Amino acid sequence: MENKKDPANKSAQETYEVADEEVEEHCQADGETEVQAQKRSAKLDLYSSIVLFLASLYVFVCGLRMPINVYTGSDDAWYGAPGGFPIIIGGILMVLSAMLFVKSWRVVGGFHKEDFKGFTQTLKSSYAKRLVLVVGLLVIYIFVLLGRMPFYVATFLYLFITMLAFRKKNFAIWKLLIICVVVVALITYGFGTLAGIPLP
Amino acid sequence: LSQIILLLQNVVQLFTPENILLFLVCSAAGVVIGCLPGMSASMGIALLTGLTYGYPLQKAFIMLMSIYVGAIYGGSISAILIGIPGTGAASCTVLDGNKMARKGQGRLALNVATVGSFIGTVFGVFCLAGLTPMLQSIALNFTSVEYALLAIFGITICGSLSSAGDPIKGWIAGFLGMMISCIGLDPIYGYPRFTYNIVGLLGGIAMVPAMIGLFGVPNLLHELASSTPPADIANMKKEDKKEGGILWTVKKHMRLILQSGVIGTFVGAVPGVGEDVAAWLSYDTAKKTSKTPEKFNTGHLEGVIAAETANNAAVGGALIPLLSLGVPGSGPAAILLGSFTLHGVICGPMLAERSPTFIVEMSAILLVAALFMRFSGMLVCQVAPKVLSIPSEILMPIIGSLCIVGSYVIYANMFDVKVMFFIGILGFVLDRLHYPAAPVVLGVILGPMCDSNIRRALVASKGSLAPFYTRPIAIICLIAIAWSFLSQTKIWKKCMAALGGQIKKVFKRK
Repeated sequence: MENKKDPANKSAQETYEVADEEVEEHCQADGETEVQAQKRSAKLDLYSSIVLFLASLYVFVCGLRMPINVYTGSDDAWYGAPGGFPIIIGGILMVLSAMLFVKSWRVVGGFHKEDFKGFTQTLKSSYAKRLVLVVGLLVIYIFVLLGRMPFYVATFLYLFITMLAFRKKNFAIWKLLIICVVVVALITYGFGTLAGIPLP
Repeated sequence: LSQIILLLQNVVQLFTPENILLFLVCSAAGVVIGCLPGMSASMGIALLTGLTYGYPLQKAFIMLMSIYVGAIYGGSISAILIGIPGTGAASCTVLDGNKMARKGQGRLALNVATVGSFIGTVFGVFCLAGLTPMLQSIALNFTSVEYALLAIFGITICGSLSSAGDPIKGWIAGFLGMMISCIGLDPIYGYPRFTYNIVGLLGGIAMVPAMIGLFGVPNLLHELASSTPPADIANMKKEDKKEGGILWTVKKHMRLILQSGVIGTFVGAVPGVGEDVAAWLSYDTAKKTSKTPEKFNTGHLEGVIAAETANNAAVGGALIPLLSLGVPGSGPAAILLGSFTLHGVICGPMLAERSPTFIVEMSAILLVAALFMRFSGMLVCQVAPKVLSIPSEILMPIIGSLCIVGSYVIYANMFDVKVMFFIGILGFVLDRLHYPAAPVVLGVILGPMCDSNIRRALVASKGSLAPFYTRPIAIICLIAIAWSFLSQTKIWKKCMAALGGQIKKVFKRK
């Protein structure tokens, strides 16, 4: 009888499957089987394909609305029209998103009310809350702080507040302060002064 | 031979005190970037591209190539010590490297990975210097038709191979990048497309903010939001100094090194395939050809050598189509294409005419970068456990500030920083939905090339599509595009498996 467990008899395909097995183990560790993970991914694909289809339809229509000949306004020489490329890309993306929709529909089997419940649960998760905080701090840094105060002040504030917001409880604040000062000094002096790079 | 002499002359010229310092610092930075999980070679190059803008060409490329080579190698350090690959290219190294570290052979695994990476890079460099001019002479026959098709091929092949198991998503990502590239004045008539009367958008989406947004911001958001705990570092024992040295490794594993070098270079040279596929293919071949295949995936030295030699040989390989055709061989090479364009170097068949010594200069830089990678790699290995224990809540905000500096620096314009932020949010959404980022970047880079060449070809043929299917090189490109699509279908895979079975049967009978 052929010993299938013998590593010497493993097929080439098995080498590549090691990574997949590790992913499966990881999924199972999170209390989610591989099939469940596949279904969850297919659900996301289903909705993302609709959004993509609509976006590519918009690009396609915008391409059609662009003038055919920019200078003369005539309809000859359609092949040089600025809208040609968006039409091609929009068309290809529409086909691909339709393919993705069909593929994920076959796995999921349609729209379900539970999907929306899952979506609202995801929004309430600690990951989502932390994500909003990260994005919020980045928005404040880019759109509020930078340009209204010197770069080093804005960067110090961003670094210190972000590190403070996400620090582990046993990490001392004075250590954070030192890290922020050193990093700001390195970026401002190293890039701005030594390397002569313009800073925001 | 003259090419090799020229290469060595260039190598000697690179040894100035200033260059040595640059090589040392940047290759060490590359190794650190590579070894930190969540950061990649692509991200390192994207971050540094903006910062090298004001530097002379040679110094800028020394920095970029050192980061590239260092980061591809650096991924192996975290793969061996904590079992998490720092880069995708090192994912194969985990299989044996981490098991060796768990057995207390971590230092030996690191030494061998360093030597393998060094030899792999050197092998790739010689192939780069030798093969690129040959490929360029073929590419001189390319017209607008071939360039347009080549850009589409780049997108489809990159999409096929960079998406884990779902090529449709890879293709969508690539064409989404091309869609982003439509923003701004059109390259032929200067007609504003998708600009919505926003002056900043007239110039289009700049490459560097797009690259930083797609590679930097998603990592920053995910790492901070998920609060990953610091990794568990495997214990390391001091080995016999003879083991793991360059001479010891070459003497004991000469055939394996050569085999992995060849596989790495040629897989790297296939547009869009990249270092990670090279490592897996080399590992698989090493297992098949080994006298002890049962030892693989149990902490076997040959597994580490095969993976690490191939992924670094793929660096040189990935530059072959990049420099000769203008189509990158891997994800980081796609970012490099953007960096080259930013520095005024237009890759493709005309490169040899515009700057005849460029390829040799690049090969020389890569060769010296490999040398310094070996030294800085040995140094970083000593401090790696400390580097790997930097918590993400400290590291990621610093990366955030660097992303902003990197995207601002090119045009000293805050609009680019805002573009980087919005593309970063898009990149994060795509990342969570498992769409690969590399094809998006490639789409942004190749979009204008594809747009202008399709329309130029159609204008030249007065609207006829005949040149697209009558010119010999165009037919090859069309077949390649069709193959990149068809090879992902189940029918094709079944046919190929059946064909393989039949061929095996015929050989067995003989």
